[in-house]
Amino acid sequence: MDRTEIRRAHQMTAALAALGAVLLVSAPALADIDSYTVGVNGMACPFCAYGIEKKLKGLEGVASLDIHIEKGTVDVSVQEGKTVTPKAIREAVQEAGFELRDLEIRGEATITDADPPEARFTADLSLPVRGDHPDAGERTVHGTVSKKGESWTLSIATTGGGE
Amino acid sequence: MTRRFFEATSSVAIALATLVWTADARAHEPVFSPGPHTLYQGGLSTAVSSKTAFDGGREGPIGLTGGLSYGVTPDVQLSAGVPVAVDRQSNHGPSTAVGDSVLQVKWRAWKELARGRVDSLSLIGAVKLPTGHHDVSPGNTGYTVGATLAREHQRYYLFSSALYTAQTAGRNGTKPGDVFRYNLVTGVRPFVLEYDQPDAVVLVELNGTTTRPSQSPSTEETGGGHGNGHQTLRAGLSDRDEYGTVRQAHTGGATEIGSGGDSGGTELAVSPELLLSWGPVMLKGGVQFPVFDTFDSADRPDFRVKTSLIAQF
Repeated sequence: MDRTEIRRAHQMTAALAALGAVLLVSAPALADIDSYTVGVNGMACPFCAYGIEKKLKGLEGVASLDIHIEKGTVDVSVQEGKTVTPKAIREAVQEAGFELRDLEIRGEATITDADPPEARFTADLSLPVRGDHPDAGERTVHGTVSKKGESWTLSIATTGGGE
Repeated sequence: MTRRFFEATSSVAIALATLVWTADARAHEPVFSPGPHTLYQGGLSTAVSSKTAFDGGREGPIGLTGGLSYGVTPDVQLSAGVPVAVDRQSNHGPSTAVGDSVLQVKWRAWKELARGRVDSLSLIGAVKLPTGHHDVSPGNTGYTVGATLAREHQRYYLFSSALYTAQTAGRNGTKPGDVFRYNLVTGVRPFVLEYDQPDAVVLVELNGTTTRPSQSPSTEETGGGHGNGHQTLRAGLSDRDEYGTVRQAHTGGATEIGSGGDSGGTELAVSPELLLSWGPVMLKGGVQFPVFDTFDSADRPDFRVKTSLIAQF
């Protein structure tokens, strides 16, 4: 990689970070979330976990559930075209008597400050690259946003589109 | 009222006097003592329990309890229970009677959750109301307060509880003895399976009960061992439930106190048990062996058997 490529990569990373930050703060809408993996604290036995099933299945837009007792997680599939917010997931877990440990989102999502503040929160983002950057245009970048407490972290794991 | 009906009712009274009158709609908790678990918010749970004492190979009357629980919040649960006594060995054929109903509130006051583990403390308040048939209900009210602390883990369980029941005087002025119950429980889950598979837990309880002497208008503290025709039945049914005892029987004429609760005393028991669940349904059962007591000898059965079927909705 020559100096020009390195410089271009740095520029792109900076642009993506800026875009991600803008999205985090300003964009209110959730995009298409395909599924969640919900980390649940307190799920000690199948009988007690029945409340989780009842509460999560009661959310409009939830297609199916897969509860893993030993791992302490619940896989939640979202119906196509429906929206299930992270906040709703968190409330359902709490109403079942448990505690949200972490929440992994698959699909396109925008995370806002309204999302669970205490959770380690991970999402895959599809960010269109716009502006004057040479790599802008149709390319899509996949990144991950993590939130722990009040701290946000944006990391660019991979980049897609034409290299 | 015919003599036959009166005799049958009296027999049932003895049985009813020993019934578990707790609101018995509990979930993943020990069989003979409470735990801190509460239902999810908006959740409903029903339970049917059967409890019988055996003495000298003789089966006593069966105490059936139907219970309903509701999760007001994830940490507050309301329960109600109604007992029914079934005496299959009555001289006049099977007879039944409805006993005093119980209302209970449980508040999970503290909890610490981790992956596969729950540590929690719940406070319990219950009241037994004199709603049973007047021929079988002593007509008194019982107030129970207590606490239960537990660690529920995917692999093992630790429960403890302490409950105190204060009894008021019944309609004839007789006050059953207050009851203090204390329990320690441990258990294991041999196999941690997945959510849609059957689940089994093995528990062992150590149950202690200390009952104060009963008080009647004629004698401040009544001595134990009133002999009458129901002595054997009483011995077979000698019982101390989770939230106290209802041991006195109104046999129609004079007020009579059941043989166990009147003299007061302490009993220690060991109870192995098994909990089986599949989805929202649980079947659990245990056998309680009294190993020590300071009650009258006639008051101590060989063992007690209790089974419960619980369903969540």
